[in-house]
Amino acid sequence: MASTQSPADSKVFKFVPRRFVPEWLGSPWAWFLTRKLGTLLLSFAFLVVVTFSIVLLIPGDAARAAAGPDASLDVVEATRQSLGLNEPVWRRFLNYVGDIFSGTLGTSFRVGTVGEQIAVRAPYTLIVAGSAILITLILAFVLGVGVTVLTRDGRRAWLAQVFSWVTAVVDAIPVYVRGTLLIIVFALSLGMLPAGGAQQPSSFVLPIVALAIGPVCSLSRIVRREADSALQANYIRTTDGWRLAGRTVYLKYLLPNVVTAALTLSGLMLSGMIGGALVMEQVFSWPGLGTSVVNAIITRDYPVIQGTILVLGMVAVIINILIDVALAAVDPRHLESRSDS
Amino acid sequence: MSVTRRRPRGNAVFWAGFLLLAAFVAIAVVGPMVFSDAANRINPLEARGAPSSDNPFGTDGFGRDIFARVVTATRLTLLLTFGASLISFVVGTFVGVVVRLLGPRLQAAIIQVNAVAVAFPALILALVVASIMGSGSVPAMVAVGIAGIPMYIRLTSTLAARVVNEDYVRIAELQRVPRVVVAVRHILPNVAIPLSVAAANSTAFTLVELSSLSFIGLGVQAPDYDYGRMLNEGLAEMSGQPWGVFGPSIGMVVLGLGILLFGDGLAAMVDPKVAVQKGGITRFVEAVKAGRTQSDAGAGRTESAVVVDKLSVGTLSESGERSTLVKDVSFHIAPREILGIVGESGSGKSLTAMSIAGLAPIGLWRAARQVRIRETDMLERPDPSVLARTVSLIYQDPMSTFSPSLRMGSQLGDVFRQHLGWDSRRIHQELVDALSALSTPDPERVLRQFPHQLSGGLLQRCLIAQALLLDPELLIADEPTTALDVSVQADVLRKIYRFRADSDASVLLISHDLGVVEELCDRVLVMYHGEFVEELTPDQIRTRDVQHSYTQRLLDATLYFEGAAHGNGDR
Repeated sequence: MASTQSPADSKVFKFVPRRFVPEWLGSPWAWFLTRKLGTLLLSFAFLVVVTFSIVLLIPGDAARAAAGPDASLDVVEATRQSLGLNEPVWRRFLNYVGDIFSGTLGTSFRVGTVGEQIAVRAPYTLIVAGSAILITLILAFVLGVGVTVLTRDGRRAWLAQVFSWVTAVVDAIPVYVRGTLLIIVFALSLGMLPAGGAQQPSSFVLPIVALAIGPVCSLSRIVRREADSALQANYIRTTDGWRLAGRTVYLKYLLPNVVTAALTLSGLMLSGMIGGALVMEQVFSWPGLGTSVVNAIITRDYPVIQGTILVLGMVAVIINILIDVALAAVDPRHLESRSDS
Repeated sequence: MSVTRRRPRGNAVFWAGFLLLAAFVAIAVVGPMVFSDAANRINPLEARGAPSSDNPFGTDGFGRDIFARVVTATRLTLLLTFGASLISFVVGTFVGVVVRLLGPRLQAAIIQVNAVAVAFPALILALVVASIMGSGSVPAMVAVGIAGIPMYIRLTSTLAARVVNEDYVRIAELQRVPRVVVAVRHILPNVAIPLSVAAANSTAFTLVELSSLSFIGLGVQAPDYDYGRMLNEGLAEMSGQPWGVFGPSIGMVVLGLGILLFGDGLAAMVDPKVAVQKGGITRFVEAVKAGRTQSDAGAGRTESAVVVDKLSVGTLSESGERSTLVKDVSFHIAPREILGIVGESGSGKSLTAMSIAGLAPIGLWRAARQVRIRETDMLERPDPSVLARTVSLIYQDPMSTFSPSLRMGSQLGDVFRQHLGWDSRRIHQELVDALSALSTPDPERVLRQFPHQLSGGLLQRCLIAQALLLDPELLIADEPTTALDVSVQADVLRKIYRFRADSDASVLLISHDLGVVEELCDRVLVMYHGEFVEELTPDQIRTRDVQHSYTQRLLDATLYFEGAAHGNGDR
């Protein structure tokens, strides 16, 4: 059937005769994943250039800036050596790329290679950010769809009001204020949970909650708006005609369409939670990448800054791509149409 | 109507935000003059004091009044926030407009790179700038300002792209008006309003990001202080002075709320649609239960499969006023009969049909002496399983009839799974057989596909196949061919005809097309302003043997086209 031919077909078969192309390459997924790989590589290149240019763009003498105003000339020269500042820019760039691909990411001014430091700290950031994103997704959809269903056709108007106000106010509180308030209530007043550090499993609770609660509010508002308009859609009317049970209608027909609509709108918000994680780490003295990159900026440990920002940026890019893949899995129309912008 | 009703709400939100912001600006201007002494007076005897009448937010580790410090910090906080927003806005919109004036290649390249930059969290971009410029108030402002630029570039270039394609810009270009003049005269004014709404909203994020930088120690440095810096210091002393963080937190949250309200209100004033969306709940009046006007059983003819007696439907306003959309319609349909209802849009045909099926929109009232489909009394609340097997429906727009995210087989099968208790294998087999019976090529493939991969004609055929399997007493086809290509229309009508031949059901066909009705129906009812005005046979339509003037006009319209088509030929 001509109308069902995906764009992938035409693109692949333009260059190679049809019989040489294996079956799976003709599927829209192959073309979709190729495009996503392209996005990944382009973002990586962008980050490499941006992080490399940090040292390049430091006003004045970068070696002096790195060594600090009080450093002796010898120390400044040593710093210049270790940053490779006396070599031409193109060679420095090649060295930088080489360090990235060898996994060392350069040598910290203080201890060991940047790669080792990141390997030790990254898990703390990733666990908290990852769990917070998962919790956000689950809770926001449960809350958003739940409130929509409960307030359908103007029922329980009070619930709609409470929901709107509570989510708006909580969403207006920045992550570090939320974290601070959580510490006051749950650590200092009630003594239920540790106020900081990551010594025991219970230490993970408050950071995750502090990070997730804002995005839960803003995403569930988006979900509610989308669910409200999806309820007016013709395909919901069709399920009424089939007299399907409410459970089936909401879970099978409403939810997937709301998920795609809401995720399309909130992709940047979810990857932005990585930024929130960096701030949150400061509140809870969390031994993750956030505290290390902030310390590195204060102590001007440039290799650590470059490596950490590269890794954090890639994490954000990967989150974006995972969201796109999830969207395509839920709604196959996204395989074909969605542009990357 | 709801738009005009919500509009004042948008204004109220706007003024609430505006007043809050004005208050903060006033505090920023006057506050430091009045309070800077108290804010900086060190008094070790009163260090870490709890809130009191002298010190509403308590005192910090040096015994300084936290309230005075919050008031004083407002100036720096606002200055940095507005400064950073201004950097993002000016540079971003400038680049965004200029990009649109460049050649297509360069334009595409810049937009592609910018798309990558937009995908990074602003805080990470701000860290890059902060690590180049070091920490401090001005570097933090510049860092957050630069981090906000990609968003504005994207927004402006998207908005500008829309304007550039407008006719008046094209005409200006044809008249060789210089590009810069085009940008200033045409592009900027037209993107200004959406941009200012976006600017208000993004200023709220700027505030949070700036104070975040101060909070993590990369922004404002002691002895200066903004809200973020105060929170940072308050947090360090929190075990000894838990009150220290409340003052700056409150300032932070109220200021953020003010900016958000201002932005929301601005958006609502500019675009009333947004106000309605955000207002959220459309209030529906509680549906009036279907009322039986008079119990008069036995009135229907015994040979009729469908009996509708004096059905009225209408709306109920919030104040309780009733209006009537469908008035006292009565009709009956025999088994294997196709009854057509014709009329212009808004005449109440669909509403009549949907009310019979028990699917009228919520918020309407419905009353009738009798609505019966075979043994099922539709005025009672029949069991869903019975209903599902009693009435099947075909809708007007097949492309939106099905959920876009489910395969056809999955959604067509649910009704059998829930109401007939069939297992998946049986559902699949029966659907394949039914589609084959309607001479569908490759039915297995149709069931595997998603709605957007199928044509409108095929989608309608899926519903007809489903109806064949459900074997209902009544099939309601609501303008089933209106949204289809002319070439497919005849095929769908043929399948409905086929359905009638294969089952014992009655068919109610709704259309505004007399030609369709004449071909297919056994009897035709003409509906006008919610009432039946005339009952016709297909022969009467053919011979133009009609009484009512509305029917006459309908016929004139059709015959005009037929006359034009067959003008000088004999059939």
